[in-house]
Order: sequence, then C-alpha cells, then structure tokens
Amino acid sequence: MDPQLKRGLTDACVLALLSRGDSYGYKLVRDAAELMPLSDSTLYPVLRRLEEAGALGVYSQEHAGRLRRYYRITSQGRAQLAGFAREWEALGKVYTFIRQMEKENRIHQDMEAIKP
Amino acid sequence: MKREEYLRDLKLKLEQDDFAQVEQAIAYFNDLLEDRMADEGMDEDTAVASMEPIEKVVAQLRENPAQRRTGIGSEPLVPGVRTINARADQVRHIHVRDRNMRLRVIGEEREDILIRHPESEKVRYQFTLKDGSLSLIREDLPITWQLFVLDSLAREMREVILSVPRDLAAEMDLRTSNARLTLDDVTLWGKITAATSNAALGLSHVSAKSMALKTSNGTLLLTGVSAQLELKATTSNAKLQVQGAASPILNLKTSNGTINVESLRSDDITLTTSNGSVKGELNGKMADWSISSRTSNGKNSLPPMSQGGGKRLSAHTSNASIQLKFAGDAVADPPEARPSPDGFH
Repeated sequence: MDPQLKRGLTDACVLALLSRGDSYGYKLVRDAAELMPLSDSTLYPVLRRLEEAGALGVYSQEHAGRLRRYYRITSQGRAQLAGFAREWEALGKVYTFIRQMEKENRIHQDMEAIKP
Repeated sequence: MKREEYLRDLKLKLEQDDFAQVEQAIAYFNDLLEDRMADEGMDEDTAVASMEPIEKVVAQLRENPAQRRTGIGSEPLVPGVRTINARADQVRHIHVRDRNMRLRVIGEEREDILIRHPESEKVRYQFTLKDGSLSLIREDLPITWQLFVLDSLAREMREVILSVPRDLAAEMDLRTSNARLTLDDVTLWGKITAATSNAALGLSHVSAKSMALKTSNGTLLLTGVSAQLELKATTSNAKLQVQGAASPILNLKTSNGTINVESLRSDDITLTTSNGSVKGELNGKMADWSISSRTSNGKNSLPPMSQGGGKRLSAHTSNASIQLKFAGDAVADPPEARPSPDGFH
C-alpha cells in the first residue's frame, strides 16, 4: 500500500477507535485488529503524531496500583476524523468511476473478441 | 528475557539510533508489557516473548522521520497541560520537585488525586506511582536546551496544580523555587514539607501531623493551620504573618521583616526576626508563660525574662519593637510598651 495512504488510514483507524471512548496502548492494538493489523511499534508513531497535531490528548490514571497512560480524542481529532470521512466520500466516487471504467473496458474487449 | 532486560536493550538501541524522546518510547513499551500481564494474565516471561523483537521495533520506528532527533529543538511537542489521575487511597506519599513554577495544592470534594502540570519543549516532568509513592519530578534538560529553546508555554499554564481530597491519609513533600507555593483546605494525616524560594509561601485552612515550611525573600502567610506535633515556618527578608495557628510547638522565624501573629494556640512559641517588629495577640494570660524576650533599639511589651506558668514564649528581634498582647489580659490594661533605659531588654 502507498505509505501516505497507509499513514492516513492508520491515523483514521486510531481516531475512530478513540471516538468510541478513551483507551490505552495495548487495547488500541487489540481493538484495531478488527479494522486493520496494527503492531505495537506501528501504533507508537501514530499516537505521537496525532498527539503532536493536537488530535488526541494523553492523561494518566491509576490502574491496579500503577499509572496507565490513556489517550482521548480531542475536538480537533474529531474534526480530523470527519474530514477524513469526507475525503473518502470523494475518493469513493473516483473508485466507483474506476471500477465502472474497468467494467466497460472488459465488456468492450469481450465484444471485440467475439466479433466475427 | 525479563521485562527489565527487554526495556534496557530497547533503550540502548534507540539511543544508538539517535531516536528522539527515548524515555517516552520506553514508557510506552513498558505500558504495553504491563497491560499484557494485567489484561491477559501473562507472566513476565510470556509477556516479553509476545512483544515484537527489538530489531523490528527499532526498524519500524526508524521509518518515521518525525521520531528522529535532528538537532536542538527538533523534537516536536505541543505545549499544553497534562493530567495525572490516581486513586487517593493508594497514595501515602506525594513527592513534587519543581523549579521556577507555581505550585498549588487544593483540597476538594473528591476521592482521587488529580495533578495538572504544563509541558513544553523546555518544561517536562517524570511521574511515577510505586508502592504508594506518587512522584512528580521536573526533568533536567541539557544546559544548551535551556539557553536556546524558547519556552512556548502560555503564562496561564505556568503552574502545577494538585487537586486532592480534603481529608488525605498521606504526607507531602513539595519543593519548587522562584515561584509561589500554596496549600488550601486540606487535612493530611502525615507531615507537610513545603519549600520554595524568592516567592511567597501560603497555607490556608490546612492541618497535618507536622509542618516544615520554608521560603526566602517572600512572604509567609498562614491562616487557620494546625499541626499535631510541630509547626516550623521560616522565611527571610520578608514578613511572616499568622492568623490562627495551633500546634504544641510553634517556631516562626524570619529576618528583615515583621512577625505578625493572631490567635496562636500553643504551649511553646518561638518568634524570631531581625530589623522587624514582633506584634500581635496570644491566647491566655501573660502569667501563663515563661518568657524570654529581647530587642535592641525598640520597645518591648514583654519582660526580658520571667518564670510564669507552664507555657514557653521566646520573642527576639533587633532594631524594632516587640508588641505582644495576651487575650486573657485584655480586661485589664495591657502592659505598656516601654523603651529600655539602655536600649536593650
């Protein structure tokens, strides 16, 4: 997959998971599996990038006698997620157009092939 | 491989790779290990074995140029306020080490401890919670960073706030410098040690087992405070003002500033300053106290030495007056402050 496209998708994936509620690193890795494979080391730069962009906030909360780091989507992050969804709507039209063109080309080729 | 080994090796590799913010990355991977143990019930060895190999982690992080250190100020960090939240019943000791930053402790109707601290490229903290000890420590940055990196924190962010339950079974050790330190509306079961410098130190409606309070070149203001064992408050080159304090032993000291006291409840009071007056009102009658007092070039309402009741009062200054009254003597005319014939009492 194109690196830029992959980057945008992982960002959107993490933001989408956080839009369901605050979460922590290991849970994000587990929950992301339903959308796309995400390893520990793939997630870390995504979290850092989103935090630096102000799309998510970080806080620590006591859990089982230790401090666990939680991530929370910010209003900026929600706006980024909504923007991502809008972009994909536009991309979806292009995708549909490409598939339609492919289909028409195949039909055209098939008709050429069966011409007497 | 044990967790410590994994994290140590990872840290070494990241440092060799000139990776930015190594400590944050290590904290992240440590969280993942602990969460595997907590969420999946894995033992330490299994949790480490389930982690990605270190070489793979480093290679993956290397692909992200934003994580690479490229020079002074290259670590992008959005300045802001971070929060730490911990259950109060699991904290027995609160330890804060800061500098050039205001520090506020506020007692509230809550069951947790909420710490809000600023963070920017120049201002960073490390926090830990281990064995009941909650620690927040300002990181020391290399001197080159302190010189060349502009501090991007907004003015209103320049303070650390600890919101705690009003009744807290813990002790506190709070230190900052060049900035105000205050505690309000809190009862601690343990000792309070609070120190700053070149700024005011204030406590309002605070109780603790004992208190050791220190600042310099800043006002020390105590209102409605009490300590079960001892209360010691020290400043310099500034006034020390107490409006309501109770403790078996009260020791108030400043220099080049006045000491002004009202409503003290104690059997052992020491008031020491220089070039500033000592004034106010104490509970009981003068006859209740064994007094030692002395000033130079000033009036003194107390006898230099008297063997009274079981309470002990020591009041000393220089180049200023001592004007202390006793609430129990108020019906009668208070002893008139009189100049010393020889200038000394």
